[in-house]
Amino acid sequence: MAHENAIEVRSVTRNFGNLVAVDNLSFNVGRGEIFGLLGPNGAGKTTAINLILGLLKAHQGDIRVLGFDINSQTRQVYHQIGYVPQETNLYQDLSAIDNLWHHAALYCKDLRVVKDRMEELLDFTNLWQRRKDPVKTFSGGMKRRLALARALLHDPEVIFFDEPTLGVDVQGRFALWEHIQQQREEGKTFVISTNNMVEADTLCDRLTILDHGQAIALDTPENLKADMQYDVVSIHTSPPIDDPEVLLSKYTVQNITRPQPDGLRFEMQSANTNTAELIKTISNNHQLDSILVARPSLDDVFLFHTGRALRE
Amino acid sequence: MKRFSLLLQSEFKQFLTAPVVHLIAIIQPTLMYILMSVIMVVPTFEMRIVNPSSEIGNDFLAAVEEVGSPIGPDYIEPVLVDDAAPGYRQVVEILEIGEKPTALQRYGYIDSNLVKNLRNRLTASLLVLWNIELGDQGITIQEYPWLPNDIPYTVYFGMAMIPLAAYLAAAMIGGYLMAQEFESGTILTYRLCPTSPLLILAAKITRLLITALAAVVILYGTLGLITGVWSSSFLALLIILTPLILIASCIGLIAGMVTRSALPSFLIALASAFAFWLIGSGFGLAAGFSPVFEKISRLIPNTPVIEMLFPYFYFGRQVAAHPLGAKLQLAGYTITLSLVVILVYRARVLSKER
Repeated sequence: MAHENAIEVRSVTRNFGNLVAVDNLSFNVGRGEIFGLLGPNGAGKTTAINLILGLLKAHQGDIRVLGFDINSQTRQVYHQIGYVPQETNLYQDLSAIDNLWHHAALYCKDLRVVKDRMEELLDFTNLWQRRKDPVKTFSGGMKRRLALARALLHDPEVIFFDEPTLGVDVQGRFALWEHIQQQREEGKTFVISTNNMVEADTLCDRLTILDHGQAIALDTPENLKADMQYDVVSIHTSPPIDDPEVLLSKYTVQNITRPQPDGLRFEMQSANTNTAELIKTISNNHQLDSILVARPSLDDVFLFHTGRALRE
Repeated sequence: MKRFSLLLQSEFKQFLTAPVVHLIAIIQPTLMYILMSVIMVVPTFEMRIVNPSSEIGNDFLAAVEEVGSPIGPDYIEPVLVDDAAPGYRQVVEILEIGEKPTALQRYGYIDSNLVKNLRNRLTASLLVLWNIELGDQGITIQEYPWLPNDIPYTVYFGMAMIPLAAYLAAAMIGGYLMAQEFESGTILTYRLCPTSPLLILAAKITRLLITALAAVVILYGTLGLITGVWSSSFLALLIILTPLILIASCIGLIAGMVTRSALPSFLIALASAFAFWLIGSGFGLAAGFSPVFEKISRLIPNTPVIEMLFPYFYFGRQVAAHPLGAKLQLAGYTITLSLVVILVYRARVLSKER
């Protein structure tokens, strides 16, 4: 019987010396789900993926992939997972098709069907015409698509994709997202690690935000945004508002910033219900040129949970 | 078998990732051999002789031309000069000193080995000229040939270079490509794959074996074409070299996995290949040197290989002190290093970071 969850992470901790890279991390990834690992640099995303892949040993906790223990049943797991690392580790001097043949020799159980599968995947990732060209002549997006095709070649159940569109242009990004969504529709499970909130919002069914090795939020993107108690308000006035803290003092606002000289951006509790009154307050002494009240984006959720301080 | 064949093909395609290293590893010993045996080894010596004006002088000139060579080219190339003025590196003049015919050989600034060679050639010429006249005091040479035919030194030199060619190709290419897997991150593909490490290593080593044998064939062909001497059994030669290539492949792969860096792996392979060549009977059989050197030389896998190759180039003559011991020594090295390479693969490629 197929295991219900593709991945189960239970109270996993991993240290590097005194640094706790992953701290008591727990989550499940359902079959056929696209699950996102979000977090600032150094939050523990890559460490978490390496632990799930069995490349690192957890100091505490258990990890099961497709019902198999990653430490004691490694080979069963490796038959059923694909991995696209952040640094696209293709043989640059070999052709796309030679890279796939190499992968097939190492991973594919049934080598009789590999040729058809290869053609199908090269076609799917729009690389068929370039299959005989050396990978070093490919663009960043093409390399990522080839890496995805390679990870899918042995028809794995679960695919780990570290920063899927890092360094990829807009067209390449949309193409990759489309490929991932198509594969999910065919029942594949994806775990993606990303810093790109649009990507996470577009792709992920659920996601967890990691910070300092801990999962500080875990839900669907919609629920995470809905849980935010603030709306985002952007206004433009003439003359510019000199002292916004005083003007807005009767409202519950935070994070007031000035993106343009005549513009203000702030987070406001129940902005939708207070919009009319807010317009009136501002219009008393200023001409209100524009006002935009928006629900928080995933960026706002991310900043709310992880703060605005720069990470090294 | 299909999987092994695919892995092997993939290994051969790795040529494209380091073509220069492949060319160096495969061709370098052959180029060295050509350079050292054809260009740098000059069997014919030019001897400057003062233009003879006496009968004995003319006889000496004839004797010089009569001195033959066991390897074909003239042993001495006489170059006639007008006088024995200083400046020549060597010049011979036939004079009568105290009414006795005398050959006077003068030297310029030359190295002692050259002096030795020129002196030997003069002695050979004078033996031709005066041996009969010396009567009972003449020098008689009784030959008990060890071999039915003389074989030039360039054959030994080339034969001893064949293990160098085999070792260098396997160790250098193996080490470089393995380290490159770490440098380019492609090693991750091996870390996460469900295929048996034994199959992966077998494919890598088989590819190195075939490549090294190709390097051997190139050098062997060059050796044969230059000297006209061919091994009595080419198949035996390949079989003898196989354990050495396996040893070299393992050393190369281990260097690549331990250093995880292409340049150090390349240098380790290069240094060990040349050290093994120089110490391992590269210029003469180990037994011909000091007992201490011989003991050290026998620890190097090249020495038993050369001793086993020797009969196939030298009319079946055995030179190995212990023929079975040489075979056992090679087998022992091969088995040990094969086990070590598996352990290192587990430790450096497969093990989880703790």
